Amino acid sequence: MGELILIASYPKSGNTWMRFLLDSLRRGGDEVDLRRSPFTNAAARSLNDRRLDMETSDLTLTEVANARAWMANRSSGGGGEPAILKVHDALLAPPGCQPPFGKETVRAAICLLRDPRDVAVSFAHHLGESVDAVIARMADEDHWLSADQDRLRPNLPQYLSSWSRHVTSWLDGDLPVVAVRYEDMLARPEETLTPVLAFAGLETDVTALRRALAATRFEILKAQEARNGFGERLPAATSPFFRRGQAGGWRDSLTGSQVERIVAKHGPVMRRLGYLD
Amino acid sequence: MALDYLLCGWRVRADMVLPELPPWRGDDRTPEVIIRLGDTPDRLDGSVALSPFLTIAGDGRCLFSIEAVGDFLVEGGTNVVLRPRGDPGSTETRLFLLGTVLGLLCHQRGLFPLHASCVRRDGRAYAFAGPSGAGKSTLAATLARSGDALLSDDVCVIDPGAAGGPAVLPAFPRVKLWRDSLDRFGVPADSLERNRPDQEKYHWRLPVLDDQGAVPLAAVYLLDRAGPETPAGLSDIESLPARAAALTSHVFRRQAGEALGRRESLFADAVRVAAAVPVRRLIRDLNGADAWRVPAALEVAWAS
Repeated sequence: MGELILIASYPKSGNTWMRFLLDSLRRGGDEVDLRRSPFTNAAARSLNDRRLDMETSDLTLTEVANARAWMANRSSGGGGEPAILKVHDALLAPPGCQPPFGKETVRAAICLLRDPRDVAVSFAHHLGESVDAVIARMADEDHWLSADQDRLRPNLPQYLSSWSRHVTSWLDGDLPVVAVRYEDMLARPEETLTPVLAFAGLETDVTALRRALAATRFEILKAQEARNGFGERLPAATSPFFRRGQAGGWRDSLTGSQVERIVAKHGPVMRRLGYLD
Repeated sequence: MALDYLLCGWRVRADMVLPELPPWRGDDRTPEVIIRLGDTPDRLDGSVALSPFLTIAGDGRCLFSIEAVGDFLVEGGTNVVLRPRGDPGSTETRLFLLGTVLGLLCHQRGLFPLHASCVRRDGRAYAFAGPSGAGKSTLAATLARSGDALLSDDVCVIDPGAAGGPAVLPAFPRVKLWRDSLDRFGVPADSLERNRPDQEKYHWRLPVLDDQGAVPLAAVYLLDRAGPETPAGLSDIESLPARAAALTSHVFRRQAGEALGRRESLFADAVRVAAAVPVRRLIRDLNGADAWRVPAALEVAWAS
């Protein structure tokens, strides 16, 4: 039985919200502080350098990718509570490499899903890029995050592939996974989260859950960011990290042709997830 | 034909050219370290895998493998055998030989290696330890450019029991820098050798040291980046146990050292160094041009 719980998602799909929610929950529903970001990225360089007892910055892309599963195996706390890690990697073996996680390490994966049309808008603001550029990223089956070898990055390269392949890799992969739609978390939070927490072995009582949901309301996180900033916001971002926190905002932001391109590429998976009803 | 070099005060005999190291011009002693090309075992019996790259046997032998480079067998703090898969004279071979392999030799020889860059100023050594990205190499290069001698970039080899107090055994004056840092220093990256084939990280060799003797250690700085919870500045670590713990956490290839049975002696060494030498936190904001300047707090501290 593995020792890790993974909060897995394509970027901009509610990962940060889920992590702060779980952080509040493990403290009985207490307040969160954006300056203390909970649950490291499984691809964080410092974490992996410590596990490897080597500098990953001296390794090639392939060597790092091939060592990921080994390093994840060493990330489990060791007795007591399972370690919780944020993951943006697809559950796929990058070309010529090993997959980043193995069955023996992972107790459960919470896979967060979001309408790719909303993801595109949010990702564009996050990266400071045009929506068209982001739609191309989301369609690219060879896409990596943080893989440029031009300077040292705080995270190791993460193979995302396309949005569709990323999503299906987690839903249909080998690990015990529970899927959660961001839209359902917004619309029916308690009802959505209760079985998710149970699946991950993170059961809690309804009072604590309600308190945690209250403590991580979008307005609260947005206000904290306005006061103190937020470390996960990128320097190039064209909006605050906590921008709108809604479902369906894409209708105001995408052109007809942009919507067509997204649906043309990702339609089957969108239909499967109920985004094209 | 083997060549002899000077490294950390040792006479090193090598089957390949090591341009980072000065040629041996000392006495006719038997080489303390011998690096040859040859066969290595596919695996070590009774060994523990510390990573996908390194296994350590109960008898202290280490087998370190990088697919594109080769297998290094490191034994007794003296013998290194490389079974090469690439060009044994390549930059990436020397990266690992003068990095991890050097670290393993230090542990096998009972020395105290820190993951730190180090410069010599006015006859005293100042070490800068920290994780990747903390700016050890950039700071060392900045200081070297303004006149300090560069003793090490990655592996700062300390002899904790040297007469007169803990001393640094000079490694070699080479820094590994990314292209953006090199641009700042006005050094054309394209004229340098790449660290690994797909990276914009390069090896920049600075002038060879005039004097290669051991240098008394004056201070250890623990570098880190400023953040919301950690403002920029220079501060002392007051208590001896805290200083020793901090030094221990920055031992180069610490887990390998512990696997070699050195946990107690490494801690004892850390205490010894911490008792003799100030250990200070140097937190810097690396987002602006300050990343390439000597921190004012450091200049002030050194002037007094």
